[in-house]
Amino acid sequence: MELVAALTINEKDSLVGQLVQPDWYFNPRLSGDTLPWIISEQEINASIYPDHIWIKDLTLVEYNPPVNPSGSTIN
Amino acid sequence: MRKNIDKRTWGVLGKMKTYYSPQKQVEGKSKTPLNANAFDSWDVKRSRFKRIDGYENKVPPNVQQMDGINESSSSPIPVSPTPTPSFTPTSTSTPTPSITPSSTPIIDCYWDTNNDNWENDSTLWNDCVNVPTPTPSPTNTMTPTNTMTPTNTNTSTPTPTPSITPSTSFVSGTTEAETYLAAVLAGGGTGLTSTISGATITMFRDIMANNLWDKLDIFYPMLGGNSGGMKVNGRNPGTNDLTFNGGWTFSNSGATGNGTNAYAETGYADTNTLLNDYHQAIYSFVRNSNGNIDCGVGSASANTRSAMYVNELTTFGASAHRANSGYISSTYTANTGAGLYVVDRPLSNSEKSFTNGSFSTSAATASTSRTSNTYVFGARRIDNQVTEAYNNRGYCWYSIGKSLSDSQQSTLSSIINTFQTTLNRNTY
Repeated sequence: MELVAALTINEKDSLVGQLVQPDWYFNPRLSGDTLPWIISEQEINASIYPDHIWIKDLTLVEYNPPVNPSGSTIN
Repeated sequence: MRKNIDKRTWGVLGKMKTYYSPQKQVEGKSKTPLNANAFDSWDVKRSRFKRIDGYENKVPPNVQQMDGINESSSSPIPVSPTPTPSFTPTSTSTPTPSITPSSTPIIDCYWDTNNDNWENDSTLWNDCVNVPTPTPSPTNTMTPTNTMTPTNTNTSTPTPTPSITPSTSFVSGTTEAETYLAAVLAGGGTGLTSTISGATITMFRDIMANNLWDKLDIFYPMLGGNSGGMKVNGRNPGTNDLTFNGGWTFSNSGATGNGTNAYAETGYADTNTLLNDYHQAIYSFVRNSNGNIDCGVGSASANTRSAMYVNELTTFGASAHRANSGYISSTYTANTGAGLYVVDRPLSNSEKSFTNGSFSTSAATASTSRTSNTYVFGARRIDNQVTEAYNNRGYCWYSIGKSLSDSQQSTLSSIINTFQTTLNRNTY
């Protein structure tokens, strides 16, 4: 179980290509389930730049990342 | 130049020649041998000859300058032995200084009455009296210019900042390791103790010493405890350094993905690899189960896949430039998902996999093609630079390069695991 925060499309767009820390970028992704775009707890906690201070206020929710492909059926 | 040599006048002792002053030859006066007294030394004989133009005071005589007239337009007369030492620098740590003979060689020359010219006879070196054999002079021994100061090999220096710039290579791998460590520090990496620095230098040296350096196109030892330190490509810092994306956790053990959106981008395209001479390796320090992909690249359009996964505690799947479907897989009863995993393609019809340096499995699968997509780990890269199948394992080594023989697999595994053991992040 992972903790993630949901993003609106505009929030997602504002983070794409932006640094969490040097040599480390945000990677918003579609959740694949009922949530829209998400970023991870690790990105939120590690973010050091003032422009992105707002993500510290996002609500974290539990998330089960999909296993794809999985097991012996990996393709 | 040596014609009619038998017409020359010889001295009374042995093969001593008779030497005449050219001035007296020109003036047509009687010939007075310079070495009339056969017991005189060679130096004494030479001292009796005095050039009227003072030429001998300008430069030491040599064959071309001997008559001061037209020899400059002629070919040099070879003089043997030529006392010009050559300096061939060695590639080892002990430079070999060259030696300059202490004395200027005396060139055996005489006035040839048949040619009215100075002649040289290199065959008479050993016939002359007092002609010294060029010998090394201690006073002229060159000071080695490439003497190296011993480097900080696994000692107490906490900061591995390179302290020297060698003019030639000495212990292979040391310079490369120090360059790498400096790049880790420059990138913001921390915690590089003397133990870590020493282990890194040892690892680089061992890779070099075992001829594995050229087998590694890119590799990441993953030091520094953060993204800035772990990004550095050990093979060529500053080129194909990693960029991390998504949810990573960094520590001295390495980088751990979250299985949700974390991956590390190498920027190294599959087309940079060789189709049938290839390996990809990853060292995971985390024992866990995950059904996703640890590393690799694939392409539906190019119908190729080069990737690895270690999942469900029992299966290790691998592919190397094969069709974009399936893997060769090994089943273990006690696979922990941790350790060094390698997929290798040595031939167009062979794929092999190795775990912790030991052979796992192989298959006679044909190679297909390569893709322009770039390699990632923590997930896999597919067409249109889409990243998918995020993994949640922790990594402390990643490399891509050329095929390794079974023995090279074992050697590289030992080198990497020794490095990881010193850093307390080994799993076997």
